[in-house]
Amino acid sequence: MSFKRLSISFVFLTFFLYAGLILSLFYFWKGGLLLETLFSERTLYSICLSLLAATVSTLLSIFIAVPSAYALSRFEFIGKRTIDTVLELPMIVSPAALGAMLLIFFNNPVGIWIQESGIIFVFAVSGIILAQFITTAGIATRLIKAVMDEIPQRYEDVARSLGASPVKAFFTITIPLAKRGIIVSSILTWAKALGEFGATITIAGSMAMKTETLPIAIFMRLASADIEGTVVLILILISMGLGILYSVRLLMRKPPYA
Amino acid sequence: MLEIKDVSIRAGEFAVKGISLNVEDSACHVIIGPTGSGKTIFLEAIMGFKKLSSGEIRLGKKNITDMPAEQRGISYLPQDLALFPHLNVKENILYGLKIKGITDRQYFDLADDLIDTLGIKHLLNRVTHNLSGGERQRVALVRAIATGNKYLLLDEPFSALHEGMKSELWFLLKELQERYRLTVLMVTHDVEEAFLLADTISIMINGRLEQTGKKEEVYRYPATIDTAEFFGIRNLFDAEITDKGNIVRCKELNAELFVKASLDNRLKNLKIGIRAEDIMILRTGRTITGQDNIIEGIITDIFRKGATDIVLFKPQNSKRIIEIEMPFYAFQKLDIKKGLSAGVIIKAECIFCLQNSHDQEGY
Repeated sequence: MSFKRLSISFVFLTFFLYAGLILSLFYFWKGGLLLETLFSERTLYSICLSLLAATVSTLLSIFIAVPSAYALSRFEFIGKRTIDTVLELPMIVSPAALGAMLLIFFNNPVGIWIQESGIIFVFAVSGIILAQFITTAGIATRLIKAVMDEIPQRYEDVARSLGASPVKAFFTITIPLAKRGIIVSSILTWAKALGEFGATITIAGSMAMKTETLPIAIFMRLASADIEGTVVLILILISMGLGILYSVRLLMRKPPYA
Repeated sequence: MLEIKDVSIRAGEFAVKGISLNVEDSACHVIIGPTGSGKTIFLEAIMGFKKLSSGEIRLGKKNITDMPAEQRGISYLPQDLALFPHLNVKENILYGLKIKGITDRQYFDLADDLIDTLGIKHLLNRVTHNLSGGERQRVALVRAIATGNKYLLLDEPFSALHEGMKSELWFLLKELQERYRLTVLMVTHDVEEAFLLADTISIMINGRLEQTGKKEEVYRYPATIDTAEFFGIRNLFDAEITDKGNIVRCKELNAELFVKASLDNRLKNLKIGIRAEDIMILRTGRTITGQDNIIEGIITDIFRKGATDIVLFKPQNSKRIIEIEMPFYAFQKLDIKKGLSAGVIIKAECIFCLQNSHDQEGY
């Protein structure tokens, strides 16, 4: 077998691994249950809550990630390497541990003061957003930094020689050039936030019609041995996720400045 | 005038050290040197993109050492031109005016004039990534000048072009510089480009300026061995000063040579250099007058270069070879062949002298 064929066979092996898992869902598939589950008040709440929380946490992550990524890409400063490493925390620490860290934080004096000042995070929707933000901000920064690294600094240098201040050069040159990469990073961040479970359930709990995001709803259905309902929710989550990833592929296919 | 006073820049292990030079208003100064000699870092420091370790930069009466790049009034053209890929040609050209909020008609007239001069009107609505190399150059030049800056820093802008396009753009740049009275500081490693465009030239090697002067002077009298070697001068020979006036003894060529350069008698050893194109092969029977040096020997090899030929000549009782470059027509007329016994003439004023050390300047 040639090396080319061998490597392609590994691609198919990986594909069939996931495809097999998806196909196995249909063993418990009950056609009539799809619409009933999809349009139930609880499922719709879960979908809406998931979309809302993922969108808000993604916006917050991108808002923080764009300037952070720019600074990490362009400047040398004290602590840069340490910060760069800490940004990988969500990738090396399990989401449940991140959620536990949040829970512990809100049980220390600073956290208690924040909660008593009126912003409740523990067992609340804001907790879901915070958990998703914590798990995605570092990843979003890492993704956007890779985008910024691809844009030569000379563009900004030339813009400055033509009279643009650093801020103007950033908004008129860097951001337009990074736009496509930022959109792709946002979609991937959003997809990651949408599927977030560990940190969310640790800090926000699993209260039906309150903190029940789609992944939590799947967990709760499974915990109550409702396999058919679980299958429907999983398929809804997969459809949303794959839909998003397909749109990313479409965006990537277009030439950047045609 | 752009004044650079004792500027040093550190970039990791590499350093540009103690550079001083003046670029007169409306003149073109070219810094020439091999790749990795610190030319680009130096330009970036003048632009304010790199911090100086020491020194001062002045533009006219203004000290611009700590001034932000956008306030310096200097346009910068990097090697890859950095045309903004998300803007079309027209938007690229007008970027500087738009960003500075300039609405003054005279600037737009200047842009129109430049667009006409460089013949790029038909490109205005095109995206930049499918322009040819020459078109990209033109657009980048227009963009740099249209903003109204009178100072232009060019970092090897023609290096990616083929020879024909290069020479076309050299003349165009010269025309623009004279027409708009631009003060140009350019770096390049292309010797031909440097001598064609420059009024004054500096040679930068290993982060140091080896020599600065009028281009004729730099061409005729390289100041250091490094400079001579960078110019591709291979006729460099050890010599020693004699007590017979302006005569040096060159053991390597087995000859005593009369030189016009004034000799520092405190030095015993020196190196003499002769450009390959300054040596003439002597036609049999021709009488020579004056103080020209004649060396007898044999033609050992001939290489065809195109418009010129390289002839290798070995003086009698010498192990060294003299490289001679001569036009093809002269080569044919003299009927030069490999193995031919011949003489060569080296005019005294064509011999330059260098101190036989890499650390000290020539004279």
